[in-house]
Formats: sequence, C-alpha cells, structure tokens
Amino acid sequence: MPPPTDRDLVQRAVGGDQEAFAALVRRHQKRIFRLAVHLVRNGAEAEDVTQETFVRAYQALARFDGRSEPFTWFYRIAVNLSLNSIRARKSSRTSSPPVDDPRIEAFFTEIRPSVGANPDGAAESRQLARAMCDGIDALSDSLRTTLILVCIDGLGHEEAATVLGCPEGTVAWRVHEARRKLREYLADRGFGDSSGGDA
Amino acid sequence: MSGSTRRLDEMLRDWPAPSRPDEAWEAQVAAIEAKVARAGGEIEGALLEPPPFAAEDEAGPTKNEPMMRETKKRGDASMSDVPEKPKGPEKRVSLAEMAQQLKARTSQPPVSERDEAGRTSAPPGSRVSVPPSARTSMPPAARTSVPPSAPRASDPGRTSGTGDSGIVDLKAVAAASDPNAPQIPPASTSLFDEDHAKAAAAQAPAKKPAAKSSSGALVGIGLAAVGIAAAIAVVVMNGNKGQEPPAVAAVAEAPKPAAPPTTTQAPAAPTAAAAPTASVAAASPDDLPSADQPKAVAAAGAAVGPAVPAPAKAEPNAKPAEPTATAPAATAVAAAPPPAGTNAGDLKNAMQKAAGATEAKTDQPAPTPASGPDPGSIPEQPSQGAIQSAIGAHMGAAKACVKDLEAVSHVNLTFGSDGKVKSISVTGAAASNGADGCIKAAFAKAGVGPFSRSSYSVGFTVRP
Repeated sequence: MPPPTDRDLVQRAVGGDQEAFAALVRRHQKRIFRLAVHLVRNGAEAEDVTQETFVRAYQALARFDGRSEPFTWFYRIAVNLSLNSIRARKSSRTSSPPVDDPRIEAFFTEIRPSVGANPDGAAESRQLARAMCDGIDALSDSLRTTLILVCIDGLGHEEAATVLGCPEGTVAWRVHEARRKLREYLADRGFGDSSGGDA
Repeated sequence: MSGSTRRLDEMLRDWPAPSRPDEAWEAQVAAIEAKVARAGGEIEGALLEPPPFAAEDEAGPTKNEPMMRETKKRGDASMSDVPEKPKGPEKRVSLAEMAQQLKARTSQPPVSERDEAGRTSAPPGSRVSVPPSARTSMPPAARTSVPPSAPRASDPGRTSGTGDSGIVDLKAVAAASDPNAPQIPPASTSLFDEDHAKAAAAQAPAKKPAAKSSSGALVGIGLAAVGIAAAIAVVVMNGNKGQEPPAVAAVAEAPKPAAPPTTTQAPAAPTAAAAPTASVAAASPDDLPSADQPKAVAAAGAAVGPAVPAPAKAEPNAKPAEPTATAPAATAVAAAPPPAGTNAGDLKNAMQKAAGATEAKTDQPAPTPASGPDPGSIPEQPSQGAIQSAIGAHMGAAKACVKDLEAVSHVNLTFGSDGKVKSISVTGAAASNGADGCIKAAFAKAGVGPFSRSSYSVGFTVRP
C-alpha cells in the first residue's frame, strides 16, 4: 500500500485524525527546521519556529483549499514566522555574528567531517563557511529568503513563487541577484574563483 | 555557468540541516501534538499570506548584469513548465479593495523614501497592518506586470557568467528564436508598482493633450486648405473677369486665412468663421468704400474685424474690435477697385501702405496668393508670358491681314493698367498697304491682367 499523500493526510487531519497530522509533522519537520535555521540563524528560535509552524498550520487546516501542496503552505507559514522572529529581535541584535552559528556547525558536521584532521584546511573552511553565512545574512530579507528556499532547500521556482506569493520571474531574479551579491561578497573577502574552487 | 558559480550552488544545495538525534525529532513531534491539543482559536490570517518584504533590494539589476538562467536547483521546474500557477490559500480581492489599496499606495511616498524611513523607524509589526487580502494578489515585492529584472524572452542574449562580460550568448538567442523552445513568460507582476503606477499616472494626462493638439492641427490644416482653394478660385475668377471689382471677394476671402491660426485657439475659430457672413452681406459692391472715404473704410474694416486672425491667435481674450480696426480697413482699401480717375502713384502708395499695415498687424506668414486680389498681388507691369499669350492669340488674324504683302509690318500695342489695349500703332508694309486697320482690329481684343503702371507698350513684328 503506497504511503498516503500529503493531501490525504491533510484531509484526514481536517477530519480530526491526530495521527495523520503527526505524520505530516514527521514528514516535513526537518525541512521546515532547516529553513528556519537558515532564516533565523539560531537553533532554539528555529525549533520554536518549527513547532509554531505546525501548530498554526493545524489551526488553519480548515482553510486549506488544496490548490497548492501542503508543504508549500507550511513553508509560507514558516517563512512568515521566521521573518516575524527576526524583526522582533532586530532591535536587540548585535552586529557581531553569533559564535555558535548552527549553520556553520552543520556545515562541518555533515559536509566536511574530515577537515578536522587538517588544522589549516579546517580553519580555511571555517572562514569560508563564515564568509558565506555573513554574505547570506547581508542580503535583504527577500533575496535571502528566496535564496534559501531555492538554493538551499531545493524548491523549484514555481514552488518558491507559491510560497512567496510572487511570479516565478521574480523568484528567478532574486536568486540571480542573491547569488551575484554572494559571489561579490566572497570575492571581496578573498574567496573568488580560485578559492571558490575549494568551496 | 562558471565553475565558481557551480561550486557555490553545490555548496548551498548541500548545506545540511543541523543534525539532531531522532529522539529530538520525536520530542518535537510530541511537543507539537501537545500544543495542537491545547491550541484553540483561529490562526491569524497574515501568516497564511505571502511574506511581506521590503523593497530594499528589489530595484532590479542593471542592464549589463547577466541574467540568471542556468541555475535551477534539483527538482526545479521550468518557468514555463506549468502554465497554471497554483494560487494557494489566497483570497480573491475585489476590485473595490484593489482600488482602495491602489489609491492609498499612490498617496504614499516613493519607495526609496518609504523604505529608508520604514527600515529605521517602523516597528517590526508595522508591515502586518497591510491588509492581507491586498497582498494576496499584489505581493509587496512583486506587484506590477513586469519585474524589473526578471529574465525576459526579449533578452535572449544575456548570459549568466561570473562577471558582466557583455558576451552575447548565441545559444540563448537561438533558443529564444526557436518557436518550439519553451519561452520564459513575462512575469505578471513587478516589484515597483508604485513607480510604475506613478509613471503611468504621469503619462496618462500627457497623452491626452497631445491627441487634442493633433486633432486641432488637422482641423487647422483642413481649414487652411479650404482657404487656399477658395483664394485660388477667386484669383482665377479675377483673371477671367478683369474689371470686375474684387472688393466682395476680398471681404469674403479675408477671413479664410484666419482659420489656420485658430488651431491652438479653438474657441476663436467659430467666431472667425461666422463673422464674415454678416460682413459680406453688409459690404455689398454698392456699399464698398472708395479710397477717398476713410471713415467708411474704417467702418467696413471694423465689420470685418473679428475675422482677422492676428488677435485671435495672439490674444484670445482681447477685445476683438480694437486690434482689428486698422488692418481690415487697410485690406478693404486695397481691395477696392481703382477709380477711373485715380492717380496711379496714389494707388500704389495706398496698396503699399495697406500691404505693410496688414503684414505688420497680422504677423502672418500666409502666402499672398491665398489672399486673392491682395494689393501686393497686382504686378507693376504685365508679365512677358501674359503679353506673349495675348499677342499670340491674335497673331493668326494679324498674319491673315498681311498674307499678301511681302514686307514685314511693325505693331506697337499699348495696354492700360486694366490690362486692355489702349492704343495700337501699325507701321511698315501694312500701314502703306491699308492693312493697318485689319491689324488693329485683330489686336484690339488682346488683353493682359491688370497691372499697377498706367500703361505698358510692347512692339513686335508681323511677318506675312
């Protein structure tokens, strides 16, 4: 028996099936958490955003009309909650980057576990990861969110357009612009073509 | 795609989520279930709407910047793959709501100002106050028809290299020219709707006067054509009738050139067109003033006054009678037929005065032929062409008179200022053989157009 689709689970959840909604949460919570981590740049806040996303989604299940995929619906709620969280702490945020950026830790834990053997390479990779995070953080909310949705979370332009409520062309331009600015940012810090190869 | 771009994309794509143990994920699921069980009420609608972004980075790329075409992440669909875009849980916005929002938006400061102010002083939740329904159809970051920098089908040659090298991607051009190739549809909304709306609003009223002026110009051109045609007809009539007094025609024709200058003064046109009728009716040939009746001339000029173009063009609100009193008078004087006993010098002076006054007053570059028997149009002497045609028309009859003679005869014709033959003198063989009467009779009917000199003589030879 094939696994139920997201729409099936939503239908069942609307009917009061808690297990169906739990299945939806299990299916999408990692993606939502990753999106939230890259958006809010804080593990604890990302966890809160993830939980709140599904709670809000459950509250609005009756309003889901089925015209889009449920996960894009979750993404939209997560993006809105993340942006609200960022704005809420924007006034109290310091200009210095967080020391324990979960993105950098994830980068070294999952992608470059071997760099720890080479201290020089580890330092360089950490600098690159830091520069990339800083470059992404320097982008505007719209560019950063679009870049994260498309280039990190792997959403298609159509899906990202659905999440962001904008035309696909706008998504394409935002991705292009974000990548251009990120490349320039990295190049200004010595991570150009030559060093980019290391990335 | 350059190597660094690809590597950057790969790095971004493979950026993982922070690893967490499965217990943590299950604990999160449990926490969510607990919250869901406790949760009540409705979700606020803003969370279901597209995220509101400020327009700080939505200015679009510069023209030379390469457009991103090549990078689509895994699972990306082409922009033209799915023709119908799912709308998601969005509300439909009524036209009234859209109009209200548009009105409110146009009253806001420009994007740059609002953005500068909004980013520094606006509270974090201020953007939520925007009606969600409006954001549904017009998301803040992309509202109007064309995003400023979205890849367009009309920009096929743009590349997306690492830098802006200006190289035209011929493959992209070829792909774009291929009708079977999937085209990138132009986006339906844009980023700076305020700017576009203002630009459209600024352009809309500018186009209307342009259309109005062009139609006025057409009307003016048409009226000018009618006036010129009428003037040509009057000239032809004068040429045929010769002695017929042109005063009536002059009065009738004077307003015609007045029409073209009224192209920019629409209200003046009906007045200028209507006035001549009454003036012509009053200025019958019997009532026409003569040169020695200045008061009557002035009165006639005042009657014609409103049709004079100069005041209508220069001062639309000016009193019509005052500025036109002199010019029409001069026109009427010049148009009056020369009395039989009038001195030629006086007539010439009067005509020159009239022409000078008219030109100075009307400031019109209108051609003199269009004004019919304008004083300036009467030549000082008959043209050679007119003389040759007049003589040639009767040369056959004259040659018949001397066909039996062997020697030539000399004829001297004298035309009066009215263009008719005043006197004929015949010398030579015809005079000695009694054929001079026949020759005189032949040329007695010759005539040229009126001229300003008192007389003009021409001699020629009649050969058998």
